[in-house]
This record gives sequence, structure tokens and C-alpha cells, in this order.
Amino acid sequence: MADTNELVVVTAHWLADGAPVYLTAAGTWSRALQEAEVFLVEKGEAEASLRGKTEQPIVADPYTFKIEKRDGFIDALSARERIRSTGPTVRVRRPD
Amino acid sequence: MYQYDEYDRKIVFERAEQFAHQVERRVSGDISELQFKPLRLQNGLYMQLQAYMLRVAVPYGLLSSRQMRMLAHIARRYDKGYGHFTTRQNIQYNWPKLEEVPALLRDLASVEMHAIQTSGNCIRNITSDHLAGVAKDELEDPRPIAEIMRQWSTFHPEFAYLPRKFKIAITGAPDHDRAAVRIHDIGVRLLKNEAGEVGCQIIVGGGLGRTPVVGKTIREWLPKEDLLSYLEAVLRVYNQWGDRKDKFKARIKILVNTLGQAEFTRRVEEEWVHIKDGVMKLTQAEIDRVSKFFVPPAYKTLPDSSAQLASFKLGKDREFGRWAQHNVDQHKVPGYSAVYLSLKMPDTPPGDVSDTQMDAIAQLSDEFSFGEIVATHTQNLVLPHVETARLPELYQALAKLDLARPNQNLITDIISCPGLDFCDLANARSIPQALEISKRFEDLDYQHDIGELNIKMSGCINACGHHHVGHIGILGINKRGVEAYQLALGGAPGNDASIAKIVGPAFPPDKIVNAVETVVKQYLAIRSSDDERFLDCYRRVGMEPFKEALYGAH
Repeated sequence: MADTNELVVVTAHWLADGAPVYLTAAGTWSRALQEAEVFLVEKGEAEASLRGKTEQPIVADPYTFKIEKRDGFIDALSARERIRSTGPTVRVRRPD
Repeated sequence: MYQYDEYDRKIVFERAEQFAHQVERRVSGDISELQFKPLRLQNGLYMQLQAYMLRVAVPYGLLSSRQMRMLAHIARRYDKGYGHFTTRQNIQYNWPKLEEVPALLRDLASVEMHAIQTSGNCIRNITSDHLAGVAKDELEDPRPIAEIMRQWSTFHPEFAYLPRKFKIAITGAPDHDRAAVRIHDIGVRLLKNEAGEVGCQIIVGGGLGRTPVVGKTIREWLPKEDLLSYLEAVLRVYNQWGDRKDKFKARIKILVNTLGQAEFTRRVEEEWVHIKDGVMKLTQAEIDRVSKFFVPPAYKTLPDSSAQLASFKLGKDREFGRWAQHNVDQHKVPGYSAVYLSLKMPDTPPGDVSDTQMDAIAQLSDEFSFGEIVATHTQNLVLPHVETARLPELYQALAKLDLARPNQNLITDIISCPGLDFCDLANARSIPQALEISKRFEDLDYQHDIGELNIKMSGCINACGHHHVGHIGILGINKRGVEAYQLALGGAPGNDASIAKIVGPAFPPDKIVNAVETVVKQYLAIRSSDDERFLDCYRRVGMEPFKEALYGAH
């Protein structure tokens, strides 16, 4: 069972291009993980669920993932979300 | 190659329009993501880690130059200037935007291409030998039968909702399977019976993933006329008895294993009896109709070029000689060769090709190969009809395009899935490790000395990188949030198919390349001769020497 004191952010896919976006304190979506609002697990999951119902034309599949916050910096705890937030670690276009 | 008729064209254009309406409804909020997801998957559109991904079908890997030009245009117009060739002979685009996908599909339709059934629990792209139609060791060109299976499986109303995805492969070279038929849900081998008639051997229940299995032969020989009805029988048994509750136990290989080969076969034969003489009977007229699309191109009458090819290999131009040795295959027609274009270049994800390269490849295929190109399941391309005498000219052109790395079947000819850099399913990255390995072994003399050694990498257990059948297989895993890599040895995909065995504990990212090098060094130290391939050496000596080299000090 999740530790209710763990910190999470809410993320989703931007419907238009599938890019990862993060829910901000202003209730908007940002492509920058560092602009995400940090929640406790229960509140985060509730927020994700709400956005999933109310923002279908904007985002797809909101969910939460665990983070750590150190000196104001948000760090995803999983390699998956870290890569997702920073982009592929390989060059995406083959140089000509 | 197969040319669409009016009916085919109508289908793909109407499908694009249908999807356009579905996208509109999704964007407006009329339908939810939950409702939209199966619709977009049926059009090959995935939601991946960073963006959407569109998988375009390339039936048995065969492309015309016109189609390749359109793929280049799509890369340029709708994506980030490149495409990715996959282990199923398809091409993927990693960055399309949702509202542009219908226009992309219309562009594909204009050149007789689509993304239908490249995802979802249905019959996927039919794959085959990349040397189909030209291989010297081929019994019969499998492409007419591949095309017949493609038409049969597209929009098949009974099999649109299978327990899970379904993959079929066919080879026409029974003694040298380049299509890896034994690791497919159904593998078809064309071979002769005792009377000398060419028919179909049916292999069922092969697959990789969570439970790698080499397929079982359930029918030794079947006349071609019975192929479709027999496939129907297999699919019906699977459709009825396959597990629909547990996604991880839903592939046909699990059903074959659960029932046992004998019982599974019995149920198939029992079903088949009812349908074998019905509408699925394949007539010779139909086989002939489709075969007409695969008549050989207008080859010149040329003398045998074996000696010329041999002279190229040993000539003064060492780089060209290496390329001729590794990247050129003999052809059934005298004076011709099949040429591999390596998509395994330094600093470039395996299988990736840029839009300008695609345009250039199209041009080269027109100049050298009657406008045909074939995608291989090892993430390379083939120009199948090149005059041997023109190899030097072609080589120069390919070298300028960075497509002439002389590494077919060598250690840097790595198969790698997109991994955690792109894929939503992945546990670990695969591309960076593949590139590091490639860099470690970049010395061509060293690669040549090592000889045939296939490395295959997957970023998760779904095994899209075919790691289970790599001579060296590498699987990316997640250990408490941290990437790690399992090493396995001794896999092979062909007639002598075998599943690789895990050597021992996984390696962290900064140690896996060293581990691969340790394995290679051990092989070089213990091989019985310079000619003993890695796989043969492993099969002779077993795991212990490699395990000892890797873990013995710990």
C-alpha cells in the first residue's frame, strides 16, 4: 500500500501531440516537470481522476507518479518518468 | 509487387476518412480516450512515452521506390525527419501529431500503404524472407502466398478481436529460414512432399516475450489449396480457447503449451474437417492471379558473376572488399546480387533512417534495383536486384549516404528495440547500450575476426528486440527503479532455433558493455578455429566458460 506521505505529481499526455505534461498549481498543464504542483498521494490521485473526467479534449490518461523534492527541485523517482520529462537520451534525428 | 485494385484503394482511403472523423470526435470531447484508444490502435497509432507513434505496414517488407519517397515525405512533413524500421519489417514514426494523422494516412493511401492492423488483437503484418524471390537457396518465392495471407487476414470479420495479437511469417527457403518462422504464432515453410509437390508446413505456437517458445510443427505438409482453411482452423481454435482474462497468458503459444501439441492439433484438425472444402479452398487460378504480381523484373541475360564477386572481395580496395564480403548476397539470377543497406551506423539508433536517406534510397533502387527495396526483420534494408558489375558504383553511392557499413551479421549489426527512450512499455533503455556496444567494437578488423555474432536487445520482456534469439541477447530490466541488463547466450532464430539462456545476475548500465566484451574475448580464446562461429562455439562448450569469465572472480 502506498505511503500516504509520499509526494506525487499529476501528469498526462497532451492530446495534440502526446507529449508529457504536468499539472501546475494554477490548474494548467506545463511541459516542464519543474512547474508541476506537488501533491500528497491521495490528493494527487483525486486530482488526476478529476482531470481525466473533465479535460478529455486537452489531455489523455492523467496519472500520478512519485517524486522527491530537494532544494525546490522535483526529481522523478523512476527512470521512466525521468526520461519522460527530459526527453530521449539519444539523438532523435539522424544527421545528414 | 502487388498492385491495389479499385476495391483496395477505396478501403484504405475510406479508412483514413473514418479515422479523420474519429479524431475530430476525440478532439471535440465527443468520445473519451477510453473509447478512442481501440480506434486509434486499429489504425496503428500508439501513445508512447514522449509522443504518439504510428506504425505503418510494409507487407513482407517489400517497398517500391514510390512508396519509399512517400515514407520520406511523411518523415519530413509529419515527423522529425526520420523513420524507424522494425523487427516486423514495418516502419514507425515516433512524433506524429494527432490531428495530422488522417492526412498522413491519406498520403500513405495514395501510394497503396496504410497502418491497418499494425496494432491491436488481430492478425498483424505478414512477414517473410527479405531475399524472397531472389535467394539462391529458395525453393519457391513465398511472396504470392504471403500476399494471399495478407488479403485473407485484412479485415477478417472473425478474427478482429482475438485474445491477443497474432503474427504470421512465411519462408520459401526451407533449409535457410531468414524469416524466423519458428518464433511466430504461425510459421509457414514452403517445402516439397515425397511426390515433389511444393506445399506448406505449418508451425504453431512460437513466440518470444514473457514466455519464449519455439513453435511446434502441427502439420508436416499441406497442399497450398488448403492453406487458408487450415489457418482459419488454427485461428478458430485459438479464438475459442485462448485465454481472454490474463493478457500475459493470452498468446497462442500458451494455449498450445496448456493443451499440449497433440490435443491442440487434434482440435485444429477437427475444426478443419468442417471447412477444408468450403469457400476458403485456394484455387490455382487465385494463386496464379496473385503470382502475376511477383514475376521477376526484366533481368538482363548476364554471365555468372560469382568470380567477379569473389574478385571484388579480394581486390585492392579493402573497404569495398569488406563491404562486398559482408553486405552482398548471391542471387538466383546469373550476374545479379542482393545488396544490404546497413541501418546500423555509429551514433544512430539501429533501424533509423533519415528522410534524405530515404529519398536517396528510392533513387538508388530505381537506378540499380528495378525500383524495389525490402526491409529486413534485422532492421536493415535490401536492394534485391543489383547487377554485380555495378556493385562498385553502388557502393560509392551508399558510402556517401552512410549506408555502407560492412557489418551484416557481425557484432555491430545489432537489433535493438526503441526501449525506454521512446516506448511506454519499456523498463530500460536499449538504444544507448546498443550504440555503446557498437562503438566498443567499431574496429572493422576486430569485427571481421569475431565473425558472425548477432546481438539482440530489448528494453523489456515483450522482446521486440528479439533478445531471446540473439547469439548474445540483452534484456533491460528495472531493479527497484534503476535500469539493469540481463545477458543471455545461445539464441538463434532460424532452422536451428533456440532460446538464449540467462548467464547470471544482471549488470548495471555502466558494466553491460564490458560484460559483452568479456563474452567475446572468452569466445575468441576458446573457439576451436577462426572459422568456428560464436553460436557453434557456445553450443559446443556450453555456458560455463562464459559464466566463469563473467562472474568467476566474484
